[in-house]
Amino acid sequence: MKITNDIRYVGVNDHKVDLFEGQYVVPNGMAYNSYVILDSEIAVMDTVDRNFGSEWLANLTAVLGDREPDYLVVQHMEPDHSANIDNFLKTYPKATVVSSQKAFAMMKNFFGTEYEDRRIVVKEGDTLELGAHTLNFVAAPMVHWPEVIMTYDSTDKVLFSADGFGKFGALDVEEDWACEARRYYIGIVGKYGAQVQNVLKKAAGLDISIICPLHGPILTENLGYYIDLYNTWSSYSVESDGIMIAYTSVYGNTKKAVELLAEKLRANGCPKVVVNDLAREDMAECVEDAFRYGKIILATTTYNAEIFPFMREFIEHLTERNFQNRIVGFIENGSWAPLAEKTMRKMLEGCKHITYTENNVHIRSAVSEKNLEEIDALCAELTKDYLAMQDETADKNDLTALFNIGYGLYVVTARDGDKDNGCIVNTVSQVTNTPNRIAVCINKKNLTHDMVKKTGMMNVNCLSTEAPFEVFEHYGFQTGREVEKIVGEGLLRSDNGVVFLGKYINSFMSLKVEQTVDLDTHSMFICAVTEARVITNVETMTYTYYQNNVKPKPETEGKKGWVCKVCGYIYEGEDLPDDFICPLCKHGVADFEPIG
Amino acid sequence: MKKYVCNICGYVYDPEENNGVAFEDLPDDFVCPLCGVGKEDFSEE
Repeated sequence: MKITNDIRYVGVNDHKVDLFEGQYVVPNGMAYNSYVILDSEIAVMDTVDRNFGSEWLANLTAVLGDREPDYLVVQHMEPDHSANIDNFLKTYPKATVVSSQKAFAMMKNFFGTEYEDRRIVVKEGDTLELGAHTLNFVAAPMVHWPEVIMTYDSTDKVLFSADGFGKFGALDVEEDWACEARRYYIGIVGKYGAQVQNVLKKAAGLDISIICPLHGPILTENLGYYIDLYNTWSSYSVESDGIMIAYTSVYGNTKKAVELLAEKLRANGCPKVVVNDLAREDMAECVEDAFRYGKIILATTTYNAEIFPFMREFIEHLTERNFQNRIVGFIENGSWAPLAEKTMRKMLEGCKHITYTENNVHIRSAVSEKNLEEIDALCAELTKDYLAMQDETADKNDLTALFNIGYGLYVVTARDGDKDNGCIVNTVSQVTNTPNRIAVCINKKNLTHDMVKKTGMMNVNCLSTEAPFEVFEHYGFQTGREVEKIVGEGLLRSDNGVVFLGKYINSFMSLKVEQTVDLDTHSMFICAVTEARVITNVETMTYTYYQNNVKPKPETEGKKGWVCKVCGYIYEGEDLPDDFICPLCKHGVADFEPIG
Repeated sequence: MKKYVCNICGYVYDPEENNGVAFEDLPDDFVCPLCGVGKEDFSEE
């Protein structure tokens, strides 16, 4: 087979292999690729598996004619490629071996010699001139062995990618590339995502027209497609939208829960639901699916106080390959002491960026009414996004969306005559930058609002993540109409005479009101910036941060009624009046939620 | 704190990414998380 004018294919197809790499079922066999570059000097790229030595040497002879090869470039020492190195070197006594230092050390182990008298040791950046062709060597450590090098022929723009971009399946069988390339990649290289990313970065700087891997077809078109997939896989990103359920079921009860869940997921619009029986399906295919989809449900039974062996094997395959960045949920079964979920969580402990579902399913021998509710809840959680995106099923009036607008938290201070005051505001935005304008929206109930309206001036103090709850109690839960909030010695003032906070802020801006918009309950002041100072580099406190870290958890234990989500005030009583205003922080009923 | 590189596979041990534990303070049975070799196959970066 001719790859370019000077590059020939001399590899072989293996349809006898039962388990590739001792573990992978390969229904369509395997290809062991090898190439020859015919130039003033001749280079042979890698050898083949030990069962195909004669066939390969015959292929070589056919291409060489009456010439002899000058170089054998060894990119990878795994025996499916390296087994015939010694045979080749005996056949061609004048040939020189070209490889990495670590590869020669391995040759000593495999063949008893490092070929010191007939070799060139190459490393990253080294080149080999063949005449018209220049071979540039690229180190690819741990893709998937430490000694691996790849070779870039800058003349024909060919990347010899060692095991990279390979796939299961011999070259005389037509099949979809991605499926078997993915099973191959996740199985063999899955652990080394970071190392593959490094190679992709190096490859991005090369002008590549053809990729010649050591397995699978030569890639000549649309290389972006293959590189994108490798980028997705090696960054552990979700490739396909959908949900995978991996299960083991001994007597069919766990399986029933799995089937019910799958049916409901599909009914709720999940674009793809994949169900894998870990005991009976190809384990490598199941592992491949876990890395392909974004939401994985693990369903198994407690076994010997741990989990069923095929689930254990499956999870070990995942963790060993650096499984990360996924949503995981559990269906566990146990007839007397269910321990499956606990065991699975422990196994996944070391995995980064795993989000566990809030809802899981806990079966006691057989699926119960309660389990049906659990399955519904898990389904709702997993399909929330699909439901929200489909016209027929979306809640188009879900105003909790408004809570997803992000805010910082600020103390707005103002001064009227000899009275200083301030209040907590989250509604501050920069609205233009030529010139700079800041919009500040203040509730008319606040004294600070009246002072700003009267004087046309204010300071916006940006609270940092260091601000304690007391700051919010002081400025937010009392009114300047009744209390003096800012008194004492040593108050700090900016040029406009207004106080700024000496603690808990990272910066402040002095603003001069240029326009005021009357919004009935609030006024929006659109201002110019007259002074701006940065005090510290501590991050601004966001509203979310306040909710999660600063606001104390309200004591709702045993109480019936409503709780204010802003400040924790508890209203005890079954019905919250529509016009109720929180006495502490002045927010309305929209910010209350029922207790329990 | 000093980083250490695995001579076999290139993995870099960075104390800052490992709870501030210096390489010297790692237990004797520490192995490279990528390729499994022992401390003796690491060099100072």
